[in-house]
Amino acid sequence: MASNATGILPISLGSIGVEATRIAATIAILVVGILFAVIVRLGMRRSLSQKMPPHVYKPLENFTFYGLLILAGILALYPLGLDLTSLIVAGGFTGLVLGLAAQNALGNLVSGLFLLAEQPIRVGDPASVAGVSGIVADINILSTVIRTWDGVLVRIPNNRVFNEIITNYYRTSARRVEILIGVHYNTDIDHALAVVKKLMEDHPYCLVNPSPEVFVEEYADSSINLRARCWAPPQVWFATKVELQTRLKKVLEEAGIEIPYPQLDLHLRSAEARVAVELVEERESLKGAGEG
Amino acid sequence: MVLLKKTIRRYHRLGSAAPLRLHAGGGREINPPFRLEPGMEARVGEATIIYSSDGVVRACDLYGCFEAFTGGEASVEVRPLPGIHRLKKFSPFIYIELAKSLYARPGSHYWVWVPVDLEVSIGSSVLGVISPVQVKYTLVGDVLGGTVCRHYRSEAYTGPRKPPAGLALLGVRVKSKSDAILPGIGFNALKSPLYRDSEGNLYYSLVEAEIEDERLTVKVQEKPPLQGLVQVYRPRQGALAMVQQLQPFTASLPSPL
Repeated sequence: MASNATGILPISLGSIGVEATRIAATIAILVVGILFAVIVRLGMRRSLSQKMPPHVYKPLENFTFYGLLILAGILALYPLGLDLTSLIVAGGFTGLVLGLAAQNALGNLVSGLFLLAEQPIRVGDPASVAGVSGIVADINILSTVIRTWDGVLVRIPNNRVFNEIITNYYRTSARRVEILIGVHYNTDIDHALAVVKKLMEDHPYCLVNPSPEVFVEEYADSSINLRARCWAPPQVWFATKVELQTRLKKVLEEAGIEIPYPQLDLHLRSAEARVAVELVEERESLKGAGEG
Repeated sequence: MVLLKKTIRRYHRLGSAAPLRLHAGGGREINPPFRLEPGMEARVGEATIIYSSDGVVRACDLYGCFEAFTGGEASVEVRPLPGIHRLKKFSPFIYIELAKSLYARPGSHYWVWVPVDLEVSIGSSVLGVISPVQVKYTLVGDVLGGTVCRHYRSEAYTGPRKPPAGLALLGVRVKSKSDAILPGIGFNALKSPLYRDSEGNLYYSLVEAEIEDERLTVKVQEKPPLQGLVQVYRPRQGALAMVQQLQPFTASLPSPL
């Protein structure tokens, strides 16, 4: 019995020892792999952020980091006796189960990979995604973060980003600034057009080509409406629009051009006769009241 | 502040890249590089730099001013930069629209005027950048895929005609197999060193314009356009790291009528 007992014990201890070594090796590979991925990520960030814009180095960094993590996970399975071929066979079934269980997460992951590859938006771009407008703060593997114009961070799942209409305000070389201004009907139109055009030509961000243009938009009730258009680099589009709108009133005033209030001219036909009748009626009613 | 007049003492010689030293104030118009001591001021085109005797530097251009307090201990240096930094660096390219379209023959050599920017610094610290001329930009190419370039309008000359302060000379060598009509010249200014001659005129590097299949490609040669010039600005390597920054200027030429 003793010998049996002692015989069993070393075998058990031996198998436990073997299992412990394998598990230790797996953990070691995972830890080293994660550390290595983190170090590579930090190294890439440090070296590439100086040389590349965020929209270039961020996806590179993400791809490398997650790629190394997946590689470390696969390598960590080897000490446990699982090779890649059996993993792939098992992966088919596991993937099906996981896919059903984590459909949304996987959808976000796949959408995230497509977004990183296609890059319809980049970190730092002003954009409108799924009704949220602002600056793209980050594009992660599962979600996209947008900082709205009023400074709030909004996290949008990548699945949603991928399927929604994306408006990117930076992915163009120039954007058109448009201003509508009404001038008084007494205004010399040619003079007004020249004044507005000169304002845009003097503005540094109104591009020389395509050239600024001003034209009469419509003869409205109270004013002649002029439409002014110029093209500006997208980075300064808003500043250009605000500056032009602010300075437009000043230059028009300096040029003696009036911006009219809404007005309505009333023309009364044979007004004098009607007023006279009303006066007579009023006088007679007062007279009647006095006698009564 | 007492300002003395006609005060530029050039103790630099040709062959030295040291800045000129403005001896004491005056506000006289000169080209950079130069050095200001407290109580002096200088004007370059539309830009002014005033270094008051109480140690305040105030530099202004048409678009604004910046101020710094130095305590009056150090001198302020004003150096030329390629004209792509002010107001905003949209691209490394400058496009010179020619006042009259240029009939460019193969092997010919032309000169145009190109704006520079002014870097105001103390020691190794940059206080700011100002522009001595009006700043405008233009789009070369279409709205979606084109490039926004700094714009300037210049005449073309057959020889190096002296430009006003704040402008530099750009020598263009036409290197193509056939002649062409050029409405303008663009080039990558970030790659271009700047040079100065004995009279204080500034020069960009020589550029070569190649015209092929109605397409203009302009390459910066990174060498002086004339002999005997002194280099006063060298492109920083860090700034050249991005891919776009290294590319030559290319543009489609307008189709003939």
